[in-house]
Amino acid sequence: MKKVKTTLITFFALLLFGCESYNQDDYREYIVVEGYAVAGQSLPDIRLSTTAPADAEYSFEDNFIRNAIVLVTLLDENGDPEEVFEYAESTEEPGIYTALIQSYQVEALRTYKLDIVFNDRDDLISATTTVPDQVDVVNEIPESVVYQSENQLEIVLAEPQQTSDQNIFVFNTISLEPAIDNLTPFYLSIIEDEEDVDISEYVRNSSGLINEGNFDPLPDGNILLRFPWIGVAFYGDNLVVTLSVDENLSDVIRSQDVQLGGSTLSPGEIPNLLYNIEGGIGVFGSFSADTVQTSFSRPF
Amino acid sequence: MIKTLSLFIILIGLVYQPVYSQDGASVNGYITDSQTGETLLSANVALLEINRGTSTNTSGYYSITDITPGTYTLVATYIGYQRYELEITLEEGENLRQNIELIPQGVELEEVVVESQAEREAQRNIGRAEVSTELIKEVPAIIEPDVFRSIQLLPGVKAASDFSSGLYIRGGGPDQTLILLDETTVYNPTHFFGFFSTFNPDAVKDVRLYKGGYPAEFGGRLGSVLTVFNKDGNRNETTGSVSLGLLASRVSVEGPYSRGSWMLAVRRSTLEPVLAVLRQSVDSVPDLFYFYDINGKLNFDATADDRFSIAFYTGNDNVSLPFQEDATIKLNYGNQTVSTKWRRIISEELFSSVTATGSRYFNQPGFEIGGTPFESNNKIYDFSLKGDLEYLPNEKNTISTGIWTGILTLSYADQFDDQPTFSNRIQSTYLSAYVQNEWRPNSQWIINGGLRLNTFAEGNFYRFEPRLSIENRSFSNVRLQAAYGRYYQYLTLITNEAFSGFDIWLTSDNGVPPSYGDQFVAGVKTIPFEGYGLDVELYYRTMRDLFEFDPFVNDAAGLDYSELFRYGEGYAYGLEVFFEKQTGRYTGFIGYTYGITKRKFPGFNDEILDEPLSGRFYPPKYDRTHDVNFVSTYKLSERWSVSAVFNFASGQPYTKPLGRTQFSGVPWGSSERDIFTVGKLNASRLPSYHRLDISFSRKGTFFKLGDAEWQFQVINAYSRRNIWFYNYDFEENPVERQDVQLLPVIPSVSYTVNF
Repeated sequence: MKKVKTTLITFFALLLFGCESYNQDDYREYIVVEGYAVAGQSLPDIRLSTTAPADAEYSFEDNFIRNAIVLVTLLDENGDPEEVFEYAESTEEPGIYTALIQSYQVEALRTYKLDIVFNDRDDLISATTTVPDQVDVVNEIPESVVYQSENQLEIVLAEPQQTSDQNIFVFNTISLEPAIDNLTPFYLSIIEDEEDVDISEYVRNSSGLINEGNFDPLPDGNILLRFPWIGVAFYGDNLVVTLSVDENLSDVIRSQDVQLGGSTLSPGEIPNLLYNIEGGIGVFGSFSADTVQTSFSRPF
Repeated sequence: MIKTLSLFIILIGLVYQPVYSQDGASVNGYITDSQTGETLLSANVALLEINRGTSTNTSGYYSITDITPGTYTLVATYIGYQRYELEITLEEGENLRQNIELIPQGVELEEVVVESQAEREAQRNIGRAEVSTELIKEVPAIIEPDVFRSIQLLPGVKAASDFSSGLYIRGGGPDQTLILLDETTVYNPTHFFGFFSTFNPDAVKDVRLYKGGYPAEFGGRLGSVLTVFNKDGNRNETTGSVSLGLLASRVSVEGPYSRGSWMLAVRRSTLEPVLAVLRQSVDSVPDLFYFYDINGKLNFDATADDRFSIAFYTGNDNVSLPFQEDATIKLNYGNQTVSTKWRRIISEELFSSVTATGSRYFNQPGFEIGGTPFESNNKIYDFSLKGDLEYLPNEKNTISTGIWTGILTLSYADQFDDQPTFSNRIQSTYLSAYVQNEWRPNSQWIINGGLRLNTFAEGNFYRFEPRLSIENRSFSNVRLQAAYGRYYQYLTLITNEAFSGFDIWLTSDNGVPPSYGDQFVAGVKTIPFEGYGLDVELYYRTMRDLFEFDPFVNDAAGLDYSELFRYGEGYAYGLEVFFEKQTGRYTGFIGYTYGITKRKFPGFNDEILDEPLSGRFYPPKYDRTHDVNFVSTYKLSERWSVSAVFNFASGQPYTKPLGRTQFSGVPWGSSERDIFTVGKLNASRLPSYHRLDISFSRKGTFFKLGDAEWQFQVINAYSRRNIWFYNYDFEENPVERQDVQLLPVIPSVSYTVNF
């Protein structure tokens, strides 16, 4: 019996004092990169800044990084440099770096590499993005669609090439007639609960990331997408932008949704985002887009 | 398939083979409650003079074989019943069928029970705990007495929060515990968003929990097994009870008929009148909100050796909640189970049971927001056939063997905007077979070795699971125990700790191998003083090839099945101490757990600039290092009693945001996006948790028609505002932290009538 007691006490002591330490880290500053290449448009501006402590007030103006050397390189199909584009810091907006050559247009299905070095830091930043195929709406869009009617707005995209396992789309509506009276019922109810009514955040309203697998391929290879009613915040004239986004942009946005909650993670479990940036955090992504216009009219 | 049929033919053949008894005599039979006729599981029975004993199996049947002819004192005991003694005389080769009826004890003050060593074959096998139905109804409960919340009081079992009845056992999540109702698997045993379990305390007869190191007769889960047996029904008279509560009400009836007994218990929520009133003045009150469950059983005694039973359960939760204009959330989920069982006493040495089971789980959550519906449909169908044999060839060996085979169908489908977006259906046959032997070479050693084979056709998986447990009784009143087992699991659960209304089960398949783990357990169980028990257990478990739904998968459409998951590993270890007083006016227990559990998934909890495929071990939210439960009941008088439960636990882990930045150019949406950087996941700790619940009960009569009981409870008596989690308002600059608190003080009252 005495031996049993001794053994138990020894085990208990080992457990208590031999437990692993798993202490919280201290705040660490990271370099933040933000840039979005758009097919058919000029090379993207690159925003450079640092993070700030979470318990401090944040603004880009207090955290931008100056004196960085920014290069964007067009890669060939072997991954070798084909053309290098130099950047310079904007004199009016510190921390924002603009391509010196503005006439070059970003090409769909091509890969671009971002490299950043600093005069006063040892950090090296790099990232690559492959621009999705150009989105092309090929069907005739009706002038108007009755909200939540049986006739949903249909968008047919020309068969896109794939740069990853599947294309990832986002629908973005931009209201041309934003007004409280024009809000659809769901968004009106959100506004009604707020103390300070501000409709501006719903003027540009998005569906979130939607996988290509949600939609049916047509016999000719084109893709039929039905625009979800939840994307309509305002009645009246709207631009409907269909975006095809790359993996970098998809990763950072879907992981940001998880960080804000609503996934299978337990409450209080907050992960970092999926960045795809070497040497820093942020996003160097790309997308292509096509825009149509229609009017969402009130139901009868 | 051919192998399965062959095994069954052998099993059925054994049923009809006459087995010739040896020269030694034997005594066997059923042990029942003298008032209700309910069989008593794990009741102790022994022959005093030769210190040989055993306990009843899950059918309430016992057998002692290979007895030298002579005269003996047959003794039977069971907690809550009077001691039974009978002098028996056995002739050479005699097989005595001796059924025993135990008389329930009245209120005892300071009784000391004299027992033989063999009688204290209390079923405290390693890693096992039993919860009495009296405890379930006595302890203060949040609105409703609940089986799972009572189990959460045991050492090694943790609760995620006040809102959850989920069982987190020895570092494992709820999906690592196999839950059986009358030997049928229950896939979502919760009501009311996981607030409490589907087990109706009025219908339950026996609850036993294998916290770890469970024997070869069970399998399919990495961690634990919870077996719940419903009552068979009163075999002597028709009785019933009615209980009215704030959230739900219960009615149960049971009784005999010429060839057996029956039982029916119904529970339903009774919130509709309250909701109707609230709806007139409060927004976001559910349009529809109810739950119910029905338990039933019918027993048929064909012969003295053959008993049949059929048991069923059906339950459903249905909610429709408009949370905004033009936005509704709907939940509809439930379980149905049915099992039919044939128990046969083949001989004094051989007992068999054959069970056919069916289980259905469905879960259909959905949202409709701004005219856009999101729907999900998860179904499980599990039909199985199970056969078990228990063979006592001699006094030193008890051999158990069995097979369990079935067809498991899981289907999971998503719809977005009325269009199917993801659909997966897996139908797999499974076969498990086990053999184990409990060998007692002498009075000091018990060695239980077993081997289990699990097969899962989808993915063509075959896995062997060895099991071993050893017990030594060299010291008086002290049992030293150790156990080892390998366990495999083919299922994983997508769940949210906040509530279980969206639980979805997924299974192994090609490219998704089953998870597995090893468990090592060592323990000491002792009776330090008469009427007291002290158990100490250490455990260590590994978890490998864990597969969980990847939280970063925002849209399953177009993904291969294996891409839905993240794959990782984990481990857990700890120490449990359980000290209880079992007899007298004052009874209760103290349970303490020191437990550590960690997980690791590549690509998750990395250092930000590290290679993304590494990952670090982190504690999941339910990891509480220290957990103490103090449960006590004191009988003030014949009518009045008071119960109290005090729980103290270390704070749960949480993740503290360390840094922030902002994206301003995301090409859709309007506002800037706030981004946060964190260090180690779950490296900070919430404040400690503690809560006191008190219950007073008064027994009386209901207009002389039956016994009645009032129960007055106060949950969280001193209104400790424990923290569930911190909510960071990322829209504020700097970020603001808000405490999301658990339950405040809650008084409740219930009234129960037994007729």
